[in-house]
Amino acid sequence: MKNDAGEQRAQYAKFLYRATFGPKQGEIDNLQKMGLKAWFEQQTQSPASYHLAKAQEFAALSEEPVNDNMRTGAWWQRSIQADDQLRQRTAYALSQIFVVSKHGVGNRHAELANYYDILLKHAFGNFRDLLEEVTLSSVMGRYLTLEGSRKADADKNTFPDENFAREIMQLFTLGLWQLQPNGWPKLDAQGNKIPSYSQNDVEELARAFTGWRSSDLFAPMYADNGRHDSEAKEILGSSFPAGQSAENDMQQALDLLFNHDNTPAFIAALLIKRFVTSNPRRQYILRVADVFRSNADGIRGDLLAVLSAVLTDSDVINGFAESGDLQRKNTFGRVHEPIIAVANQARAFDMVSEGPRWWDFQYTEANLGQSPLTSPTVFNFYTSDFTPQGELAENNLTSPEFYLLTADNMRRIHNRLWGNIYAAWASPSERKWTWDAAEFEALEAFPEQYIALINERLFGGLMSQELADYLNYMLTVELQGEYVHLRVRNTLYVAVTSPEFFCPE
Amino acid sequence: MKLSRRSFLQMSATLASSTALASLPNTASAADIQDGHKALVCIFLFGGNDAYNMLVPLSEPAYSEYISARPELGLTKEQISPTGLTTDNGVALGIHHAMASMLPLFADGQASVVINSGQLIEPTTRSQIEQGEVDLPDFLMAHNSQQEMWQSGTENLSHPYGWAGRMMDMLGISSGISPLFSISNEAKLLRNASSSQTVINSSGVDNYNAWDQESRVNGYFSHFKDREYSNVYERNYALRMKESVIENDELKNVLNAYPATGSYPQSDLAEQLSMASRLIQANDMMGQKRQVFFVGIGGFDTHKDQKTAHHNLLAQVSDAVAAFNQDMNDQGLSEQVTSITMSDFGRRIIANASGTDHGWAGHQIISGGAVNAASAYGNWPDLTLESEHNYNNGRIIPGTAADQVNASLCSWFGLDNAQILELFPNLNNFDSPYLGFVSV
Repeated sequence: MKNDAGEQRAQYAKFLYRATFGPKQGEIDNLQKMGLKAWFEQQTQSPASYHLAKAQEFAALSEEPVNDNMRTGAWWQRSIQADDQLRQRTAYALSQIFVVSKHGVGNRHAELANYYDILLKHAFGNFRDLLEEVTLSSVMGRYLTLEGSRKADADKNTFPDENFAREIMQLFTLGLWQLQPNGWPKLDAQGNKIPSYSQNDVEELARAFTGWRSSDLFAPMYADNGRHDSEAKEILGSSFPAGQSAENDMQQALDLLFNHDNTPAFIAALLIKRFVTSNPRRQYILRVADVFRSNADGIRGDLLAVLSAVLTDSDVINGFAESGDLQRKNTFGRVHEPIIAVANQARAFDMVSEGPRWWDFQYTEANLGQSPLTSPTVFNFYTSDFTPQGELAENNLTSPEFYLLTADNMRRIHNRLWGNIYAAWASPSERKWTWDAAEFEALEAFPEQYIALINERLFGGLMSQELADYLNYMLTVELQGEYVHLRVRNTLYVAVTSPEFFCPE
Repeated sequence: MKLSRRSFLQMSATLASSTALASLPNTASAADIQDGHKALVCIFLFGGNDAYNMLVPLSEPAYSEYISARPELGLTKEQISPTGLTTDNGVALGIHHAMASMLPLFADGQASVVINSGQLIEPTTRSQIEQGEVDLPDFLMAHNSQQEMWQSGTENLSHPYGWAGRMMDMLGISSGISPLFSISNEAKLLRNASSSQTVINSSGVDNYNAWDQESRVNGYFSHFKDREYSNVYERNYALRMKESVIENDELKNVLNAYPATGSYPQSDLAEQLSMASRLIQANDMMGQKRQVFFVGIGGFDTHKDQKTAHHNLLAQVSDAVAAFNQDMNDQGLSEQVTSITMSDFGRRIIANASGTDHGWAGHQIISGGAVNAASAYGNWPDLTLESEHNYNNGRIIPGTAADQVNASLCSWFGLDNAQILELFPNLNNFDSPYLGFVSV
């Protein structure tokens, strides 16, 4: 390597775009000083910044019950300002696996914030505990209609609800196809993929999951064994003896799914895609899945160990990715989720709410095509194997986030990025966010230093020479002699609309 | 400062040449299409519509079999409005009373229904399944696989393109603005080799707020005009930026020329259909002799508390479709436009405590001036527990293949037999690849 110190700093910068909602001023240098090990320790020891409490604080300020805007405002405040960034970022990733949504749950926003807090609470815990608390959550029970599911009733000719039983297998643990340890599908003798469960497994698991009820969406569901089907069941080749209670069957079923051969690689691949790259190599998935199977102490499902493996794998350091049919071309990285690109910008500018309550200044769901806990269905904002038409699809590569980048959303997202820049000069209002552009204004007369500042704040020092050259052209030719604020705004607009701002490596 | 027309046209020209069609196999020339404009509108009911509470038999013993299969959730006779349609096996059909706004369309011969259609590889009965004599489609009761299967064709789940997109490739149809329109989000149905689908929001298009300064416009354009990207994501992101700019500008012109017509209720689906109407009216301006639209409405996954929710959803569909057909009639476009509903799957005939679970076959509503609406299409199935149509406690086996339904629409659009069999190879397993519900 030509420049070891520079290369090392670049690695730390890239790390922070993955593990946090983007580096704030000083954080890259800080990480470089303390090293990854100390950073992980600091992050895991940092107290969790929960969302319900923050949303309730906003509710009190407005003397209204918690609503969508407050819940979303709390999400932004935490994502931009909370110190427990790894926990926040992980909970957000988990919210796209263990999906619940206001579209389905309804406008029960305090309860939704409380569900999000479950994800925060278990972000560094064990997957088995997370799976259980999510399963028994009354919000999940309402969303995937496990709440109230009861054993078959011959008089009314009704059957147990299969919704949760199906989705916990398809989306939360196993996936549709039997996987090799490295996450690639197993094939049968004819070369066909093999389903990981049958419709019969769904029906049997639905029977095992009968009997759960709720009277309070903040509390876990409780068992009503009068409604539980206590006959024997056969699920994924395992026998569930007759006479078990709802609790017994639940424990046995969750253990079965947690210990299933598919779960480690299925979850590893989903997390890698949320944090690092859309096209991980199978060796990378295998190494992360192995950590899921067994951490240093032989424990299965240690999420902190899994996260560490996701973020520090040798493929991540080396920038290696599956290249599909694009032989050894540059396929490492991902397209940011729009909400993460905006969070990066807000943290780079150190944006703050003007009033004590953080309003949803981004109008997140309408403008970014996504907002926490608002997925249109349990299948998340995109499927993990989505690929846009054209080069990526033709070369068998995926890029899930592209699903959100419609022409309409692209314009709206870029309008938001512009609105956030302009906020530094806009007329004040307690519902807006703002930031201080003085640092930029002070340097705009010195293009080299000014561009270095943009590079540091918005790109973690990773800006391409081409973009730097273009910004220099703007300052020295196109905007020569223009007003200070115009020179700053216009160059920042071009910087944040660049593909490299949206596509971190 | 507005972006100069000249630089725009330059860009568009570059784009057009980069996506221009090399000759595709089995392709007719667009010039061969002599029969004027046609538009197909697919209305997707996401989540799995409970079709057996949308269309209900009026005849006996079919009604008694129905109500005994779902004693709690079944519609009473008072909740069913007669459509005047009868199935191929002589069962008179009623429709959920929430859909009363469709009744004039049935009365005027502008709407009919396909009964008991769904994903099939070959004609299938319960005994054949139990004896392992038939192949079944993959993941029959999984939402996303089944949504995709309706759009890809039963055997083509892994094919990168959708059947309507491939149909347009075969017809040699392409235009500056792609004639494959998805309203809201990208749809597999519309993917093809020759063009990117046009994904448009039902609220139309709007401005780039920062573009009142030329240096901002220039800088924005520099990202895709002047740069080469070695990273695959950056490269495709820059391309998407460019396509979005062009699409936004071209659609702005089109939509300015074709403001909203008709009288639509206030619902998301109605707004989508209203947008489809404007784009249909603009077909000549856009140079599109064939257009396909994909619109959708979610919420049909009614496992629980189904009665009210399903009632409201069906009312929204009915009111929106009725308004759309009225609009098409008013514009004199009715004969050119056919709409059809699709859904992941039908729901199980036997209910859960207060809802229904994933099933298999469902029913579809077709409407438009070209529909042969003298009767319903397909046979009413035997819903009793032990019948040959009843698989796995109430998941009704389709009597008509989804591929047959889709092939009928392709035939209306102008594909020949060989082309249709290329799209839907399973159709060789059936007596006829088509149903006659649209006049070719």
